[in-house]
Amino acid sequence: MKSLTTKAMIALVLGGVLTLGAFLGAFLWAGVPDFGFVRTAEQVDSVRYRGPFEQTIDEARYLGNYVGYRVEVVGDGGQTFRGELTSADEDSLTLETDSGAVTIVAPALESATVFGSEYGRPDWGQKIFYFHVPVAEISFIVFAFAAFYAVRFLMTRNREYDTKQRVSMEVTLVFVGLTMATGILWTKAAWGVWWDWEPRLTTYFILTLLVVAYFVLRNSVEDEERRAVYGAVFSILAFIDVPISFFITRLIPSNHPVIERGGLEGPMLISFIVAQIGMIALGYAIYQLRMGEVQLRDRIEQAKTLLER
Amino acid sequence: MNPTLEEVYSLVLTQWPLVAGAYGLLWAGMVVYVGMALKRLGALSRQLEVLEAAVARRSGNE
Repeated sequence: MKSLTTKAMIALVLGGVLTLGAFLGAFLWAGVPDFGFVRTAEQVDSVRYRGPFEQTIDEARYLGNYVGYRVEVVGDGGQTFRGELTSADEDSLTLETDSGAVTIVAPALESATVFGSEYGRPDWGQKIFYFHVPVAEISFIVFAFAAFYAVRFLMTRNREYDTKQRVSMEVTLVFVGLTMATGILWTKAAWGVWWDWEPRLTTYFILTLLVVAYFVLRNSVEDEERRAVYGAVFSILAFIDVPISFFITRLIPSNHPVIERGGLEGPMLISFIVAQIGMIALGYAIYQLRMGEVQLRDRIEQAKTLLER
Repeated sequence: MNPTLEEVYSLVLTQWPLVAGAYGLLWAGMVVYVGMALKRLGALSRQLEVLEAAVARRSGNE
């Protein structure tokens, strides 16, 4: 029991140090990729500055987004006006030119070219990925261990494997919960919605329901032997969803990003790998802590039995 | 702050509450779960020590 707790504490400290290091690396060392762009009327000093932009628009109503920008308007008679756009709607647009305000009605507009500055829009939501992906990976790995122990239990009927399988499922539940929580917030940051029924999210949601159903099933069976057998069979069947959820983004069209070889480099890759190793250590620590707790409870029961004799 | 710069920041910082929320949930979840497990482990260890001492005393008496 002591060796279990020692292993757990070593893994806990290692995992804590590594995940903290990965967190600092992700925020202080790794850069932020661009996710689209931001446009402004005037240029400001910013490391995100990409350069000037110009865009030609041929309908007055689309110019409403560019009030305050410098524009060059060409009328249907070929005459040209340059100035700052002060208003624009579907009926007309107004320019402040050097010689005063000019209003052009929509049918008389041939084209308008907007001039401004463009900046890379930092994808801060990508920072969630450094921990969301490792947490999701650990949920898959621990579930694989649970399925392995379930098979071993069904082969040997050794109760130790049932305990290991149940504890593995508990750890899976923790990591599945953290994956869902971080994933929902990433979805909102990246896609602007809290949820989308796309393949990865749908299959992972099914996985979450299966893990919850496992505990509902176990708690609904009173007989210990039947509870262990049902739990083992259910966790093996539920595990089928893990490879489906993992590979589905590679097999059918999905909005969910996929990490590809060479997709990450330098500080981003190192922070990500450190976060993965740290999360493996934390997953192992949590498993060992829970196993230690189960073994302590068994020894307490044994001691009570001895005292009751 | 320059109004244009303010506009750039207002556009690019909209994701921060979600990033902070994700890390907050992640760390809080981990710390609470591990903290509760350690607390239970400590209580069980103390309980076991008392019981084992009682078993040892009884064995000595017999």
